Amino acid sequence: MLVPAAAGGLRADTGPVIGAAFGTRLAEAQGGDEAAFACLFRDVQPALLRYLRVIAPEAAEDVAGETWLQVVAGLAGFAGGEEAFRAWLFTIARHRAIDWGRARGRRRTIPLAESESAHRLTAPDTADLALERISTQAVLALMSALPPDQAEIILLRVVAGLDTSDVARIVGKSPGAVRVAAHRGLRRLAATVDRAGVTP
Amino acid sequence: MSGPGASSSEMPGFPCSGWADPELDEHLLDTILAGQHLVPDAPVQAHVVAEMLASLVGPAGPGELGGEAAARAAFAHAASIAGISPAARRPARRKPSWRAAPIKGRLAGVLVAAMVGLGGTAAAYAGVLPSPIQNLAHHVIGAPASHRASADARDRRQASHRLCLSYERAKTHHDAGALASAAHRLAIVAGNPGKIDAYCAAVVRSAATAPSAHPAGRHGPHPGKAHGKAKAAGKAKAHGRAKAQRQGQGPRQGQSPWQGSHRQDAGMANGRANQKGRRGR
Repeated sequence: MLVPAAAGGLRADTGPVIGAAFGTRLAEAQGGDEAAFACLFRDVQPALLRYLRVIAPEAAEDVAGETWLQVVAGLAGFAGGEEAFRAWLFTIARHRAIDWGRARGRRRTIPLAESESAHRLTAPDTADLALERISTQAVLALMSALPPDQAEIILLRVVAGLDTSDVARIVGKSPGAVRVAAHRGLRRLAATVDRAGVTP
Repeated sequence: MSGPGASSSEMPGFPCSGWADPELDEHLLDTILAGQHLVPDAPVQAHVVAEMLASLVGPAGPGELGGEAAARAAFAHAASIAGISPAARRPARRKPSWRAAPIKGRLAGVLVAAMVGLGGTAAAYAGVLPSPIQNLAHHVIGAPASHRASADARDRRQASHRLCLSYERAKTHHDAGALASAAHRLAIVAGNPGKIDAYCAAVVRSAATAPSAHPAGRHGPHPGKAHGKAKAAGKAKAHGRAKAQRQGQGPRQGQSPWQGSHRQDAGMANGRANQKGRRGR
């Protein structure tokens, strides 16, 4: 669902939406108000899960749980606005996902090709895409078929609602490299829908 | 990769290898990424991609908020340890028996109640919660972690045994608060309140006959010890946290078991806020 943004565009539900009340909610949560914490949780959790379902598909919910544990542990010391909070949370999530990937690598050894195919969502073929049109799961599957860095950057920009400089800090690239990667990913998606004959 | 597109070798297995780049200029792509309206005469592919991305940002779907109860329980636990929860600021309103209950026991009650609130009948001590919730329970109350929940029946037995011992001790000492808490949890594990005594009798019998390769004290302290440890740890953590807050400090590396491996986690929390303020975005 999209809601009109102040700038006349479309803004994501999963983007920063608490708005002016965020400072109050954060202060209440830092003071131990569980309802305020729940507000923060509901604001971010759907975006967090969708991000993790692409970058850590086998353990998205586990990694999300670990992320929230760390957020809870560090919440008292956090200072910043809603976008800074999201950037902090997604930074933690990314690190936990990396930890998960390393742990998985230590647990077993499998050929690279098998690894890449097994740990990605199954992308719908073009006929499915044309028939089903656009569902969240189908799009996540398509995102999973992109090169991982491109998929992650697009998700951080679109689903997490972060700007280019935030994403650059999180993924450890320059803003220019982030922008280029996002554009390449979008072009690939466009080519996919072009082949599928999907129309708006 | 050096061009705006990608060669087929860069994305093996992708269903559309060999396609021609649609005419999507950078401004158009930035507009899509920003979630802004496209001009009507933008290429069809651009509109479709924009719609695809819009589908990723919809409201929470089924199950996407399923971890809320566990996250809230972890939050309540952390707040109670730090002494910042509203309940912690009103000690006079607590019943003495509630105050005497072990912290872990209280949190177990919260978690189990949360699970019931979710509509589930599983219990953390039974090791059958959905994995993210089970992992939260593992971190917070020491229940088995999800990855070994099905395999590690021994831990479950010991946890059940400890819970039953707590229940019996509360009955013996007429500790109404602890009794209610233990009974509530046991009722869920056992099926209903009427089955608690039979359940605990079976657990105690099983503990007495089970091989004792790992004595209970190794994997889980005696309930009495757990109370003492939790109380001491709670005081120490609360003291440290309060001191840090007085000094206006953020969480230090190593303060939390989840913050030791990546400095950037904490750095983002403190450094980014200032940058945001400077940017005025």
